[in-house]
Amino acid sequence: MAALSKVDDTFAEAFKMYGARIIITAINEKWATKAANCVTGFATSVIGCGCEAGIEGIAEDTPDGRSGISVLLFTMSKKALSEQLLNRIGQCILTCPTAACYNGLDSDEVLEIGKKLRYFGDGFQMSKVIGGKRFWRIPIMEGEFLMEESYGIKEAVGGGNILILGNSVESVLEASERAVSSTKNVKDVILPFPGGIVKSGSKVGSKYKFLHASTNTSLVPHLQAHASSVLPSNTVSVQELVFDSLSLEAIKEAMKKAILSALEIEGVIKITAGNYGGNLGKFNIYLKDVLEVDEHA
Amino acid sequence: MLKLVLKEKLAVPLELSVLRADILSNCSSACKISELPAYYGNSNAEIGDFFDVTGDVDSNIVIEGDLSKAKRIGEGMEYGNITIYGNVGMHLGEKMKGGKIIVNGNVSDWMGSNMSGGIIVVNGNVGNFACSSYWGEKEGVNGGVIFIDGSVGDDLGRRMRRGTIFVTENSGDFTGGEVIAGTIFILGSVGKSLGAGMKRGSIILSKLPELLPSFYYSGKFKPLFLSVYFEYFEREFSFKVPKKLKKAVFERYMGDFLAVGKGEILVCLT
Repeated sequence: MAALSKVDDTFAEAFKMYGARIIITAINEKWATKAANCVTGFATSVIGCGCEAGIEGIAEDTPDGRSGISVLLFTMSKKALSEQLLNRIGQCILTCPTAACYNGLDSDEVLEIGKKLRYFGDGFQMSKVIGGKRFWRIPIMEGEFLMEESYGIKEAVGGGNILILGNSVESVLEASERAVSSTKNVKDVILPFPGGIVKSGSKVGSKYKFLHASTNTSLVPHLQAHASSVLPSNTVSVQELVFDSLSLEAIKEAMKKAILSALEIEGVIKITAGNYGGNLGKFNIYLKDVLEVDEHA
Repeated sequence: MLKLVLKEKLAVPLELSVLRADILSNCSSACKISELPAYYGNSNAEIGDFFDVTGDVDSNIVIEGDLSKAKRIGEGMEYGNITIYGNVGMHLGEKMKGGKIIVNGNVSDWMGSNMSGGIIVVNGNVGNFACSSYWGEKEGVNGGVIFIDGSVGDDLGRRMRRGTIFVTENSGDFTGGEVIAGTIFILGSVGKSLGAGMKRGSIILSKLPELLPSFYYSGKFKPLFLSVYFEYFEREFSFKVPKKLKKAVFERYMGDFLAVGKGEILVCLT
């Protein structure tokens, strides 16, 4: 396939993270989605948001039988994950009309978020063990907020990425959108940036000492005269897709789908990936290897 | 699957505390199971004196026959499954820690008393003191799930501390007496002195009974945790929860204010 020649022989450098899956239910999908959007708001990058989060999809067979949305959250440490879950469940789900929150990840390692949030009940909270799981009933103005006590966590992979280079802003955006759509059915994966796409990929460090990350100059189309550009000269625009996942296999599958979908768009010049020479991340995901992955979804 | 069929009707009580799925599954053969001890009236006996034992030894046991005089089946069981076709005598699943017992028939008194885990399903009626503590003990049931598709007698769940009891029909007097915590569902009617002395815990009813004066009305709400329970019951026991319960608003009565007063009686409003 001629288009595959546009895929750079390089790798995406991904990092070890910790992930959790929560199931948000509500009286209907509209309100479950509102709560999920709130939980995953301002959660594009751990650099500035504390966590990376996104909507994984519709949750089937929820514990209370209502409409549900599955959300994945990722952080660099277990402590950070605990803080983020507590804050985001407390501020976004506890407050959202009719919403409830349940664990969506079976794991031996758990964070007991409900045990902390229960104190909102000011002594009137009650717990129930149903089917071997403990739930907390917290009295609120609406009636009762229900949440599961323990949330499974596991080691995860964050920062898998592809870069889509093209000869126009429109073509690159269209390719990126199509690439994001193609990953919708891949379980365990989210793309945490707006619409799954990031237009301002960063490099580590800056000429300014107070800044830890700055614009990735080698990928800015109009800085080719100033920086050591890696872009083909006819590049007009670049977009990046960042993937976080509960498993390496799932991230590879999503990357494959995204690459193949992006290549269908005329105007795409090249698909490459961001890395730091393999010096920072635990996982080096080679694009050529990704294209050989068997698809499950 | 191992099968035990009662040879003839029992004339006097037969104690069968060895009839536990975990004990039987550790026997080397059906022959060895036949040699396990039993107590028939005031004399020593063996399982093989009363049962035809057939099948492969594993942790799935089927028992058939009128066992209404057979006591202590599944007592202290930790894992495995027992399915009984016929009526069963006292102390079924007493002090049970795990596994599952299914009875297709009626069960006598003290069923599941002091159990701390596992599941008991009864497709029939149950006698008095089901899931209750023994007299003088501070705590009764400390975990597990009891699903009764029928009615129960008096003193259901006395001094229960944890666990869930679901009764699809009626229960007698002193249901949930001195409950410390846990959850009891009664879809039919209840007798007198419901929840007398209860400290915490929940009793869920489909209609308002005569409550003790030490229970106070505490408002109306829609408790979401019941939906989780109903989903669990439908999934685990294939029980179709009435629609009116699923969509209902409940009245809440708090009590017993002669005790701690943090118990709740939830009554379906339809």
